[in-house]
Amino acid sequence: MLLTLVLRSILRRKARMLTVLIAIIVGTGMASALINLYYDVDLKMRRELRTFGANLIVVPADTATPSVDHGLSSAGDVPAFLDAKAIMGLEQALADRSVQAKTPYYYFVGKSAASYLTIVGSEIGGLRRLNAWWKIEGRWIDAAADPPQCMVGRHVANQLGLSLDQALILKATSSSQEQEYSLRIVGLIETGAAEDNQVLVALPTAWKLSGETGIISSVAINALGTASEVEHLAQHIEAQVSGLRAKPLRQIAQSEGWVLAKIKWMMLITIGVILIITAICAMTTLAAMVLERRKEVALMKALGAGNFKISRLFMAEMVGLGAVGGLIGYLCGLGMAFLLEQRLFHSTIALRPELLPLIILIACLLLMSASLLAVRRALDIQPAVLLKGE
Amino acid sequence: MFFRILKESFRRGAKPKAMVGIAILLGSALITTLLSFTMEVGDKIGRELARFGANLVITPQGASLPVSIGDFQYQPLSHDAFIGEAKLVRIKEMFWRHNILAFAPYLIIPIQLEDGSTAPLVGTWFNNPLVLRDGQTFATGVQAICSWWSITGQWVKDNDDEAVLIGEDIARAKKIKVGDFINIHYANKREDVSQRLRVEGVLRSGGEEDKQIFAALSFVQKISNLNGKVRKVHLSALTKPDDALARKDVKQMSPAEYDRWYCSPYVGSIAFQLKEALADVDVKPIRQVVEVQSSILSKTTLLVLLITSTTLLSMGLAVASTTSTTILQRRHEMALMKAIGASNGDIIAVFLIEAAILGFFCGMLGFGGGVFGAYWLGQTIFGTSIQLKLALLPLILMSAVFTTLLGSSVPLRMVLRVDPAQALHEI
Repeated sequence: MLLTLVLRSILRRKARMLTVLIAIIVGTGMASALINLYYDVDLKMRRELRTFGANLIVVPADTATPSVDHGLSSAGDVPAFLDAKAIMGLEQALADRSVQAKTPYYYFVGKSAASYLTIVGSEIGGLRRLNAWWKIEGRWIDAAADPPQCMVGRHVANQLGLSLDQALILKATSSSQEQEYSLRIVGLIETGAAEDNQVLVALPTAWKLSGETGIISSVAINALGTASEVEHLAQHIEAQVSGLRAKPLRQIAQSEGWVLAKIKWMMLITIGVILIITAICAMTTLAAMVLERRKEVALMKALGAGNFKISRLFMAEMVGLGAVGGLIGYLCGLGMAFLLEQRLFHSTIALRPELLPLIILIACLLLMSASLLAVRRALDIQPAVLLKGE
Repeated sequence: MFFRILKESFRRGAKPKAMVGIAILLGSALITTLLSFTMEVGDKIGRELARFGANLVITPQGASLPVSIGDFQYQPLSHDAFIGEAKLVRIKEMFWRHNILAFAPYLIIPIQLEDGSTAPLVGTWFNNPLVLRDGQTFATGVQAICSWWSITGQWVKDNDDEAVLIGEDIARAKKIKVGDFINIHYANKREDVSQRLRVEGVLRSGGEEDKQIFAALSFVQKISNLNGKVRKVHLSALTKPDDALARKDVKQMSPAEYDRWYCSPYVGSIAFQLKEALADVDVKPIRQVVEVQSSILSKTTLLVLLITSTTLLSMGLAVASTTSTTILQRRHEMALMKAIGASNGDIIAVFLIEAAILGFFCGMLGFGGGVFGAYWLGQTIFGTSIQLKLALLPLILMSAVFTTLLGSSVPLRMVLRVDPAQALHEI
């Protein structure tokens, strides 16, 4: 019924106009959906990727010769620690920056009955935000629990024969008297990287075990932005706080820009092709329209309208159509982009009113160029020949 | 009679048909391009994603726990397990060999620099040509696997025993430039080795590599007296994002499920088969890279699929509307046919068969155009070609014919109700 109604109205006077309008709405709608997506995909995809670990590491600028020697030989100088002053400075430097998550790390070498272990103390909440992708068997550490809890890397667990809910006995190595601590294993970590070889505890537990307090080895930061923006943030930190080195982790950042560029390229090409096809469809209909209106044009010419006036009439019609079609297309595109982004990123799109004039401009230009052929045909009409038959 | 009408219609009314034809042609070309692209985008993007670095790590079974503070590695007390370098060629000979994009072995030893400080010396393949069983060579190493490294100077050749790449942090601390020479000392169990090495390049990675020195694997094996041994292997494989099946425990799979799992390039099944092929090793996915890759891959595939399907829809609409325009234009023709006694069925047959012929041939041409389009798109975006997909041809032809018929049938229904006397009067 609806289709019949629509087609009836198409069959009446402005049949051609409506067809052109539909073509332009479909074309600009698709294009505006893709343009919306084009602007969003960068930010959304980066935000999505930022959930996979830190992209900036802050470490002390100087290194120290190994101070803890447990019969281990070191292959390089051991880093110094960040003290409370440096941490404060870092906090201030980051205060007004877009940082998604950050967490401190404090490393030291611990000793279990069987072997030396790398112990990492961290702020569990931040660590968890930074590494939501970690494959964990069991659960995360509750920092307030007593006895203190720990998580062990898969390799550590395999080597020492540890399993969930067992106790891990650690000897406090730096205090003068040999004291033993019992940690409850609440989770097993598997990442395929260094974490597999480490024991993770809450920061206060780590300080208690090592007999130190208020110092950390590094801070991992998850900053939003492109590779160069992160690079700038690193420079900002180094300039603000002395004695710090901020190192962007390039592995993900560099490559993500590259992959995103490919995806955006593809979208641009699709937008271009869609617009070309829309223009061709509009061209067909517009040519038909001129054919139907040739008597009208002939009459105008007979009454003294010049080529300029006739072209102006047609162009004005195109601009009118373009404005209406572009507006509706923009709205349809917005709806489509909304659906697409819900499906892709489970988030809503950012409204971009500044795209509306762009879309309308595209629609008008498209229609005007599509009508060039039709207008030329109209200008060729010989009024005398055509009107003779009346 | 019927065929004469058709023939004459194509001969005389070529112009409006040309417009419809062009629309169908372009539409089916675009759809062919997008569909061929969609079918391969997973593979193509997957290859791009190899830029994120290794996604699997191979370690010898029973390797002792390394002790490290941040990036700083303590040397384990016992020199324990290694992987035989000669075995590594098997990686490119197993079932998933085509999915293995690159790999690099590592052997790390602590060396002393001139000023008495120590640093890790990493022996690796830079771009080592590996001769496979079928006689082909496969060049691989860190150059392929660590695309984010930036090198000032030059890469080291794999047969060059006198050159090193030096991490940026060491270069900065010791004020070493490209072209300088460094002296290193290493005491292995039998002898003290001293060697003068040329700094071929300075390496910047942002990771622990900035504090390391890289040399050819054979050289490091020689001075450490660990010939033919490597400590770990990083490997970059083309994988399929994990789905419900991949997350299932292997031991709880039914035989059918197990076969399907074994024959799909999940990161888990590739790891499993690497372990089978190499024996006495542990193969672990590097979760961070795997997760990033599968997140991008699934999002991109979905994005392309959504773009393709919406484009398909709008193309169908555009082509159908163009077709109906031209049919509407010919209502006088239809009125004339009616006036001289053609039944509605006759007219419908003429117009629909016309539309089908047009749809078929233009769809065919469009398919040809689309194959070129896909080739060009593949070259522009990924620098590799997209293969010809003949399986798409029937699909494209069907949708072209269907769209043209749809575009024709709606206005035909309207036009048939037109009174010939009235319509002919308008002329």
